[in-house]
Amino acid sequence: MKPAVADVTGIIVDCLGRLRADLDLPPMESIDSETAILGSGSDLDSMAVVHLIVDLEGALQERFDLNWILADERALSRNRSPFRSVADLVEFIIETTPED
Amino acid sequence: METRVVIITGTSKGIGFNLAKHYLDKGWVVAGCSRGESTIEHERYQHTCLDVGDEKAVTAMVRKVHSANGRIDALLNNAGIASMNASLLTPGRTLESVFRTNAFGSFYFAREAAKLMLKQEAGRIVFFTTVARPLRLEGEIAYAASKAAVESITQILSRELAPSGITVNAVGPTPVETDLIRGVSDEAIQRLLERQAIRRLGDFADVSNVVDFFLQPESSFITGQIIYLGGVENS
Repeated sequence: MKPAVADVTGIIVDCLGRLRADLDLPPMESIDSETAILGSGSDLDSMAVVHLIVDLEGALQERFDLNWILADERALSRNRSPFRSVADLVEFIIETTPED
Repeated sequence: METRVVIITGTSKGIGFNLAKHYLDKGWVVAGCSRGESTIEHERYQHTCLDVGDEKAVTAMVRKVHSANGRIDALLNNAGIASMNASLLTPGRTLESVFRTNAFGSFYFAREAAKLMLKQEAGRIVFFTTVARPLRLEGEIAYAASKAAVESITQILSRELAPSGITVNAVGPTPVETDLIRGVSDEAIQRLLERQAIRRLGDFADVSNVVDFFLQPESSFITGQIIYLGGVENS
């Protein structure tokens, strides 16, 4: 069964907040579905995004007991990356829900 | 010092089996895999049955090993298959099968282990290539080409992972007395040996010596390197 948008959004927001703290980046006033992850609207570099993806895979496994593989050939594409914003990433995670 | 954890692929026989024994003797926890059941009984040995070309199975194994042990210090990407045939008689499915195990499988393990090593800011990944690649051995197009891919993966990963304290290197054995060369004629082996600077078959200790070197703490400044045995030059 695919996870709910709200649950996945919550996991991303938690991971993003923790990652920013780990990287000593200033906390954001709010993190919501419009928050940019990769690209011009974000202060995360590609290595930080890799760390975020690793954290997310771990958090998703812990929550849903499934092994997501958040790899995509469009990952670093400026226009089509599923990692552009929180909303894009939520959609991608739900789309790629592993089968039991 | 905490017990170190190594994943070794292809542990049912040959070099992988001997590497597993070697690191168990050194006190490591060894997580091994092969298509069949375990051939190693040891309290520090953990076995998974899988096809290394199965991306989902590899992902699940690596994450399970990390969850069970809390760390992954090293990955030895040993699992491999060979194929000898004239290029013009080699079917596409042979290339697919050899690349799936040797190149894709090694990549899946490295990608998943490196993700977890990133968090540790340390880790060692060792790939296995072959002297058939630099010697451009006739009759080994699928095997040598798949190992050329492995060498590129080694060198690109070494650069991407260096900032995270992870080293990525490869060892290229000469023929070693294993099942992998059992079907090769004595004449073919002899012709190969004549192209080595040191003209003998390798043995397991020749391989483990290089792997030990890559894994030792003093080798933290060694990455992206490919060491061939027997005096074969990288070219």
